[in-house]
Amino acid sequence: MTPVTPELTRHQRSRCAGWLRVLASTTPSARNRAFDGLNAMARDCPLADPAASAYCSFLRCGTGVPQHWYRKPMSVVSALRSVSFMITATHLTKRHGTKTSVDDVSFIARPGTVTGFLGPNGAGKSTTMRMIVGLDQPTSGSVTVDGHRYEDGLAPLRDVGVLLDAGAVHPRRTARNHLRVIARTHGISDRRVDEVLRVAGLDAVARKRVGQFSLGMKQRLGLAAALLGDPGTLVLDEPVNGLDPEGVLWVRQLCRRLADEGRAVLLSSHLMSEMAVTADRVIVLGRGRVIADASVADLTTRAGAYVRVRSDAPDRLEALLAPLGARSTRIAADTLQVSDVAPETIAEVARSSGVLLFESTPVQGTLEDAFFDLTADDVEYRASRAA
Amino acid sequence: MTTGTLPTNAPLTTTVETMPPVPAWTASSSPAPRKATPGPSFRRVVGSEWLKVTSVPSSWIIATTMIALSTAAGASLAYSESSDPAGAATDMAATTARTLAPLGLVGQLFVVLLAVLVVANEFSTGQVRATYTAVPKRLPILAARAAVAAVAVAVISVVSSIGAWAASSVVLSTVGVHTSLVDPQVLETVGANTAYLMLLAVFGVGLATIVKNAAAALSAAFGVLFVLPIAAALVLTTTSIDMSTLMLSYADTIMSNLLSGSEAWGELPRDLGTIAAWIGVPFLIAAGITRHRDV
Repeated sequence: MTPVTPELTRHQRSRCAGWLRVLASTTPSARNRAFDGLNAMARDCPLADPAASAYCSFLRCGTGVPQHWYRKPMSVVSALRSVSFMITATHLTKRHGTKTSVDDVSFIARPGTVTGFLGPNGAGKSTTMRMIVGLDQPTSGSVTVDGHRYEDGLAPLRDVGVLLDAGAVHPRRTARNHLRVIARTHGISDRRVDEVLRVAGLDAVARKRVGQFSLGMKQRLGLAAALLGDPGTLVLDEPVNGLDPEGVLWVRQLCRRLADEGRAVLLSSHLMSEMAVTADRVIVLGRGRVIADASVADLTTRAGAYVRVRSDAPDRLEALLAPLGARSTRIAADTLQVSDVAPETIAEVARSSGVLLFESTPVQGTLEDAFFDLTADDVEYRASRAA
Repeated sequence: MTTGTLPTNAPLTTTVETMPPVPAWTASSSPAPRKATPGPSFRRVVGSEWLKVTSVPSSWIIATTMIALSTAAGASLAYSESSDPAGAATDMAATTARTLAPLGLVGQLFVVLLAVLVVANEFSTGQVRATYTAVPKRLPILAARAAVAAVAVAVISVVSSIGAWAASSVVLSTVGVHTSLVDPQVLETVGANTAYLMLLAVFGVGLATIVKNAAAALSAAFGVLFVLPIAAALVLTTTSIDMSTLMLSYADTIMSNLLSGSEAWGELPRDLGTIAAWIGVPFLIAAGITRHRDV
């Protein structure tokens, strides 16, 4: 898609500025009219490439970061603001002495999509996420959130909600106080803290000490802390780690719902099956480098498909299919794994030569297969295979 | 490629409608803050640090212990004063002030412990990552920590002084010595102790930020307070250099001199410089480390 940078006419600019002035009014009905007006203008604007900062300037009318946005109910603001939210990493590099943990990593996590971070242990996923929120300083390169550095934002918790290490809590503090401590830095009310606890399913244990929590409950608390500021971007490091199936489902639905609201969600996981269902795009890291940056569909296509054939004469079938360009592998006494040929062709060949087919199942390669395929050479810590 | 297994490696599809209802995610329904700045202002950061200190039981335990011990110390000192009733009655205010003066020494252990624990626990539990994510500029957090430590210690010190005065009043009244709490000499003593303890609290915060470990920071602080004066005196016995006035523990005397007005003008720059150096140098180092350290 060719990026289209919308050029604003002077009339559009003055209308936009007018709506923004109405936004600052105190009447809810006037504010709602202003939001409707701005939304209508936004819909008319063709947005081809979310990276087009022209859209940002369209919403802000070139006045810089709009402080008054933050005075409005976050639900409405996030619906408008979130279109411009994204994480852009450019040639990120992090070196500790001689060891390079992140090597020239560039990617864009787009709004409205769930971007997955995959990689073996030690590939640099956590380090990259820490560099997004300024906990680590990159040796070279930069990473920006919505076009600005994380620390330059007016309200960092409202820009990016981050879950990095759920266990990093004082064990003698109650869950509610832990969230209140974070919320107070931004003036977020206690009502919001209780709301977020309810969403995370922790309202029953809100006044218990965090040290008594299980791993899954601490993970939920970390997610609750990430959601506290109603952020436009979410950076989640292994959010389903330690959660029961209900919790895993909750996180999946949450990420999808947040992405559908227009936010940018960046999450890393080792659970391939979950990643395949949750993520739209996947960035695969290996030894600090980006190995792949593609949609889930592209990666699973790359993993390839094959047909599992169970018959009474597998050797004969293999010999018959070879001239047709099929690659076959024998995986059991009566089972063949055949690729590069359609199941219909296999059935016809079997019928014409009298081979009985017991089973002919097309199997689509999974994200896990693609992942192992891509990272075979880049695994840093590999357990030795049992003899 | 996977070997022949049942097709459980196919991507998982779920029908959401059959799952039990999950609490619906709603974006925030509460109104946004009315203040002009949407993000972390210094006042908000101080409020957050104050909640951090008061929401942890160890702070309360240290405070209660210090108040109890100060009350006991006041009572026992008053008891020893009351063994000489005539001498005690000659200057009632001075007698009471004498029972309250050592409270600075009693409290310094607890104050340093509180300051170091509050900061070092944050580093050891990893809570500091959440804090630095919320306030990425980081320096306001350091300033807020120092402010909150100073205020908390001031409150605890005043309460312990009141407790000690009450206990010593009870004991001294048996020999007919009565001094009110708002007597200028008593107030001077209480003020000097409180000021000294506040200095120690700020010193503890700076030290703990540099040395993230609680045990190491406590060792360093106690070394500076207790061991360093003795070591300096021992090492320099042969020379005529007197380093005792440059020690942090001497700040106790400096504060009481300043408040009672008996500070010699010629010594004022040296004393203020001592305090500024002991508090300021760790703090500057802590500020530099905070800004640039990878957490």
